[in-house]
Amino acid sequence: MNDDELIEGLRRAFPPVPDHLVGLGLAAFDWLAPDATLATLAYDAGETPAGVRGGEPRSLTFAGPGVHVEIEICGREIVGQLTPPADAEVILRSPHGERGTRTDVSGAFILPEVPAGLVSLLFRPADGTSVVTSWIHV
Amino acid sequence: MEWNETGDLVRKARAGDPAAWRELVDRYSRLLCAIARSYGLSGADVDDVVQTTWLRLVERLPRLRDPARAGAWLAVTARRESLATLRRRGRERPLTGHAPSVTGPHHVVFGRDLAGSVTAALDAVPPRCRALLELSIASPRLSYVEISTALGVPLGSVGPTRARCLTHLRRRLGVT
Repeated sequence: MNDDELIEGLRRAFPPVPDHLVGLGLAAFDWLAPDATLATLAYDAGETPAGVRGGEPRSLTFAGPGVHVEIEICGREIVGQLTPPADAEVILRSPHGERGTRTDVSGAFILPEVPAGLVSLLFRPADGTSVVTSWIHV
Repeated sequence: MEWNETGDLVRKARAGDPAAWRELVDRYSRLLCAIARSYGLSGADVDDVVQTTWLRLVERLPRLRDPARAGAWLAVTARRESLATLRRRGRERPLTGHAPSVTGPHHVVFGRDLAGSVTAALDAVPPRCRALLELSIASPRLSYVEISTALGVPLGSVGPTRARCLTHLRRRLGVT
């Protein structure tokens, strides 16, 4: 058996990429936010989900140009602070959909019943700019 | 379909072109799957690595420094996400080398059953060797840079490693 025959056998041996995996890739494009400032994860107190660590809060910091987001995840609740403080719409993004709340005047916010899995936060202050955090597993 | 370079696809996708994004997904889904599996992941863990990697590309898309190297960027990200998944599962273990073992029964092959026999033989080679073989038959073809980044092997050893994996596969198949 020559190389070509073996390669041909290999081509038939590897099944096509499952449709649902291609679907996950296609769906990711819906989250494109070309005009938002990206705040990337700068600190994560523990990558283990809070539930596994016995309910102890997990603190994370996201940083981007001129912006800071600090959050604490306790159970299924996220308590956070946007800096500099701004009155902003807060959108919790997850593959299950979007949910919104607002910060108070000091930039603090609370998001209850956060779904397990991948989430990202999008902030829309009144000045028309927007800030988005990196995706994290909660 | 017209052949588009990866860099062009990234530039079109960042401008909001869903057809360009679809082409990127078609081009690199196998790469991401193969990387996740090369870390011994399966099922929902593979889904998670693939999904997270695409979301990370989307979040970086507006600012990606070198669009032409998006394939290598995806490969690095998928490796990092595979390790993160292993860490979250609390069962991270040192990666074994990719030199295939040659223990176990050999398969004797007659042409007609080749595909089935190759499938069986592949189950017996180490995950990283399997991943290398999978990536080397991807269509459209992946570059050696993308394959070497995916597997964390030096660029110059992709060819020799592939030849070695093919030799081991032949031995598994009981052909020379």
